[in-house]
Amino acid sequence: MAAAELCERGLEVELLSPLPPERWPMLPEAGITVGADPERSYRETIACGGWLAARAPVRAMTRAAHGLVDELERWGVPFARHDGARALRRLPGASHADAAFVECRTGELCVRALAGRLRKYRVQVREPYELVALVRDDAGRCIGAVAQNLVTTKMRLVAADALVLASGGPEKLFCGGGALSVESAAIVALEAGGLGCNVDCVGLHPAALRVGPRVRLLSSAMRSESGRFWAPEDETEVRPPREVPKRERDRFLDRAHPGWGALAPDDLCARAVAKRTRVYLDVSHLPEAHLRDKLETEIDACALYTGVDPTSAPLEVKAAAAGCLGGLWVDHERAADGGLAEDSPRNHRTSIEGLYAVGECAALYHGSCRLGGNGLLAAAFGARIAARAIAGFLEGAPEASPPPKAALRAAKKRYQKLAAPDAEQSAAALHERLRLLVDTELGVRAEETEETEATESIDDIRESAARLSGDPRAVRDAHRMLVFTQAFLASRRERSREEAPRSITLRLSESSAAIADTPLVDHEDLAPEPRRYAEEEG
Amino acid sequence: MTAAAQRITIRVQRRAGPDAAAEWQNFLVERDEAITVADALDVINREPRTVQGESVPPIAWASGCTFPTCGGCAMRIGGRALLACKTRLDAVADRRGVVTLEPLAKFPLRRDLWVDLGRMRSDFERMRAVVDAVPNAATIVLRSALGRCTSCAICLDACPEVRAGAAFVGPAAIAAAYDANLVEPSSERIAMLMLKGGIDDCGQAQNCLAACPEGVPLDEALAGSFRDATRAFLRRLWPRRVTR
Repeated sequence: MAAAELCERGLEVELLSPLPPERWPMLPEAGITVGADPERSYRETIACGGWLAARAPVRAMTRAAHGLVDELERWGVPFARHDGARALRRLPGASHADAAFVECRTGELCVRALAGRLRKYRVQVREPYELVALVRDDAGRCIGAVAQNLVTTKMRLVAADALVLASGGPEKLFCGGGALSVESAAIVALEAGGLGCNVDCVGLHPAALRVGPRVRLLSSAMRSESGRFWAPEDETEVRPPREVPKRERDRFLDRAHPGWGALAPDDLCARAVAKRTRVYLDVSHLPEAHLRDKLETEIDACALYTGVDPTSAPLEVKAAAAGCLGGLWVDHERAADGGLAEDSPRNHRTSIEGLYAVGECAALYHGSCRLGGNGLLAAAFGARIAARAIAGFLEGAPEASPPPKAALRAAKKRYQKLAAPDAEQSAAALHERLRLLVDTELGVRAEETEETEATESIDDIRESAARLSGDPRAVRDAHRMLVFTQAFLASRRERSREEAPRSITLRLSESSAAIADTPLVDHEDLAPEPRRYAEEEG
Repeated sequence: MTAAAQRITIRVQRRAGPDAAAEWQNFLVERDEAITVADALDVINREPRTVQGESVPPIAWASGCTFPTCGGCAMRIGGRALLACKTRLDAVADRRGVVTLEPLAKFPLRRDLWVDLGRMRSDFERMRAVVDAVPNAATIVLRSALGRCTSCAICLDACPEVRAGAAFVGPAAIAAAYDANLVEPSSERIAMLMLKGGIDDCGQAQNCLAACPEGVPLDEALAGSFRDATRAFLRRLWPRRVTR
């Protein structure tokens, strides 16, 4: 989206990606918020995010939502219709049906429509490339990057007057991305001196399937189409779930959050699911034709991976850490009307001049829990705002000097140093240890974990990870995951000392993560209060 | 079940680059470690070691999501073009418990199981499959079905008309053009369909329909494109008589 928006403004764009642009992985598929009532949507986004999200960008985003969804539809996304009008779906955290959708493939189709825009503007796509390092000039401005071709493994210097990171969050540390996932780009910026923000905010997901070596997150659309969570009242229950009578099914979320049930925010649902030994997500009470119409992709996938057909039997699910809701700290400029000064070059700029971040690698819109439907909206809106900001920045900024060749040599040397074929620990083993640490100690059960336990494990891990064996790319990835986990722990430690909701920013150095003092949240618009998800609000 | 039966042998065609010689390598995967072919490749790539115990570079394959979303992991599995993330190992293992993996045959090879699908992007560009118009609500159901296409290229691999030296753009690009015509009919796009490599080159074998892993109604898209092209042709002959 950012690339097309920049082209539309007449700027020359080069897109580097490990995958073709129409194949972006791990997208929110349930829907995109349309903001029928922008003020309500704004309040719900801020409350759902634990009062951590920046107020002005969220307000501007919810105001722009309707127009953005209309544009996506014009660009070819076939949003579902009912009697000619756009059909809407209520997603977790929202009190009303406020998300446009295409079955369970909303994100996928939005990305393909945007890939069409790239073709229209003939954007130069360089694929398959991965970001290895950022290049900064003496004044600290980002003047380019070192990128690696994933086929030939050759690295090259890319010169740029401004750089936008739109790489997503560190998925590999959570539910695992594909072989070509490139989520570590945000970590590259952290390593280059960029500020991180709220990196301890983990997006929890209440309905995940353990499938072979992976965790698969079920789309929130299943919950939105009247899916119910229940647990057998008797924890030692041995009967198959279909044979457990209704009176012996504990619909714990309906009890805890009357009027919301499975549509309470993800973090509340996930923590409730994690407390129980066995939990089922049940849509089998709904007519099969309705399920096929609204959830076909998910139903087919569940049947393929688990052997259970959700149209006729409940699915056993687990809570899981889905990804990081924090990321790079990005700036914004508030307008007098409470929204964003949309042409300001400050918007979406990281703490490094000339470097912008959008989507899941930037922390701005979600706080500690994402409102359903806001994932896609924030990515699209952020990209548009960042494109405007870059256009503004380039008008006033001098042309960047070409990146020096020494930067390329330094990047090569740095990663050569980490890889050692004879090292005791392999990159894959380190990656697995970190995933386990995140999964068991820092994810769904983070609140129950003693801080010292996790800190000790990361110290152990760091000591043994000075040199790693394995494929150079895997070594690089594992090292970045380690860097991120350290930042995660430092941020969490700081958070545990805070009583009121506050955004935590930090800066990484060679051996530690130091907390930085950069205020982000303007509480004056909407002051924090306890989150309540019970009937009187719904 | 014996220890051997609990394991599956993954036989992979390896090539270090488009000009390198092909070599076959065998890897072992525990049955309960992996459900799909994509899982098996992931398990192998953690620490790639052949059956003979030789440590080798990771198997290169294109995958963005590992669940049927991105369409990047198309390859030949047991001789058939399939998505690795959507193919269960137990469904494709032969009687000896062997699963053979090769790259798609009709695309330039990058490395191992990874091919360059760049031609699809240029074919989509050629077909002008880009729109900017208010859609017709009556076509949403059909367009939603056409939207299942993940550009995985399996339809091109299955199509007898897509071959070296042939200009045919293939079913995916034609379906994308048809989808675009449902939103915003364009005479320029229909003219492209009528040129060499367009809809006239479709031999109607319908292999694409059988091979598509997402069940995209390609027959409807191809028939609709034929209809649009024929109508445009007749309109050229008798401009006043032919209406849509």
